[in-house]
Amino acid sequence: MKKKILGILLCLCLCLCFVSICFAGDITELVLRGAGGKYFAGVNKDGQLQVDASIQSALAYASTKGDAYSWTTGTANIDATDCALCVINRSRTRYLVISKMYVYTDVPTAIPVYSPAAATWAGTAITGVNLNRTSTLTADALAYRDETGNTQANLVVNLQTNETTTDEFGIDYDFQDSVILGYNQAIAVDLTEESAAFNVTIIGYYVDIE
Amino acid sequence: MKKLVLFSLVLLIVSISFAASTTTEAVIKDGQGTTETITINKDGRLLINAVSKTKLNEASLKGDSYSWTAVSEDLAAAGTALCVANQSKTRKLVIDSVYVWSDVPTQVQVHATANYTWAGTEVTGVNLNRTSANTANAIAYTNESGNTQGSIIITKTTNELATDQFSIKCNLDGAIILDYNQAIAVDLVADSAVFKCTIVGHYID
Repeated sequence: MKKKILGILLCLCLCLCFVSICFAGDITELVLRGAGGKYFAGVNKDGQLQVDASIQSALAYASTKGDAYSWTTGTANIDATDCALCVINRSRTRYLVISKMYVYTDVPTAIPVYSPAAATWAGTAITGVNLNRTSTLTADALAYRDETGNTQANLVVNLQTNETTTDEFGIDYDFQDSVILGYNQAIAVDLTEESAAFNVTIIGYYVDIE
Repeated sequence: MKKLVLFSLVLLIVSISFAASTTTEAVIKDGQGTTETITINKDGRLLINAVSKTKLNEASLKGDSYSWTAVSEDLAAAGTALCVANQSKTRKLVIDSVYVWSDVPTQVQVHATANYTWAGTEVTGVNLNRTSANTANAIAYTNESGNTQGSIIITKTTNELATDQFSIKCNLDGAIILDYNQAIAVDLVADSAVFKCTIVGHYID
C-alpha cells in the first residue's frame, strides 16, 4: 500500500515536472540580442521597445516593387464641364490606390474630383508611367485625357482655383491613399469652366486584394 | 523508492523555478530563407524598416472612410457651409481633413457642435473605397441652419482682401473624434455667394 502511494506520488511529480518544462516557454523572459551579440534591445520606462525606424510611405514601398504609376495629361483645349483626366483600374486582382493629384488650369474654375461608373471610355489615351524606372511593369489601367464617355458621380472632393480672372495657381491634393478603386472603377477630374490649357497628374499604386 | 520520490520533488521544484524565472536571449532571424539577423545599435535600438500607412488608408481598405462634399449655395454671414454628425452608437467618426474655398475674404471656423434639429440640404457621404458597399452612418448638411456654434477647433482666414481667394486645407491628422450625435461643422463668417467644402473622415470601432 505504501509503495503504491509512493508510486502515485512519483508519477505525479514527474508529470508536474513535464508540465512545468512544457510551459516554461510561456513565461520565459526574452531579451533581444543583435547580430554579433554585442548589443541588446532597450525597453524604456514607458515599456516601449526602442527602435530606430527607417520609414517609407506606402507609395514609395509600392514603387520599390514597381507598382506605382503616374498619369499625366499634357495639355489640351477642353470644353466647359469636360473631364480633364480619367484613370480606370483594369486589374481584377489588385486595388488601385489613389495617392495624390495635381491640377492646374488657366481659368478660374471648380474642379470636381469624382468616381464615375464604368462607361464606354473615350478620349486621348494616356499611358501610365512607372515611377520605378528600373521596373518594366506596366499599369493595368486605362487613362484618358478629355474623356467624354463618363457621367459625373460620387463626388470625392470639389476643388476651386484661387483667382477670379487669370494667374491661377496649381493645386496639389493629397488623398492620403484613401481612394481605392476595384476593377473597372475610376477616378476622374472635371474642369467646370472651359479651359484652353491645363495640367492634371494622378499618382497611384497597386496593392493585392487580400 | 522514497529517495526516488524525493528526487522527483526536487526536480519538480527546480522545473517550476526554471519556468518562473528563466531569461532567454533571442535573436530575430529572417524567416524568408536568408541568413540575415536583426541589428541592434549601440543605443539599444532595434533597427526596423517600416512602411508607413495612414489610418485613413487602413480604414479605406476596410471600406470605412468617407468624404462629404457640400453643394454650393448662397450662404448668409456666419452660415454653416457643411456639418457632419456621427450617427453610429458603436463606432467613432474620426475626422482627417477639411477642405474649404470661399469667394469672399472670410474667417473659416471649424467647430465641434452638439446634437440639434438639423436642417439644410442633405449631403450623402461617398465611400472612398469604391469596391465597398458600406454606407456612412452619419448625417450631413450643406447650409446647416439648426446648430449653434460649439467649441471652435481652428479658425483660418482666406488670403485676399477682395477677390482671388485661395482654398484652405486643414489636415487634422485624425485628431477630431466624434461619438454618437456629435458633429463637426464649418462656418464661413462672411456672406459667401459661392463656396466649396469637403470633410474627409473614417470610422473606428
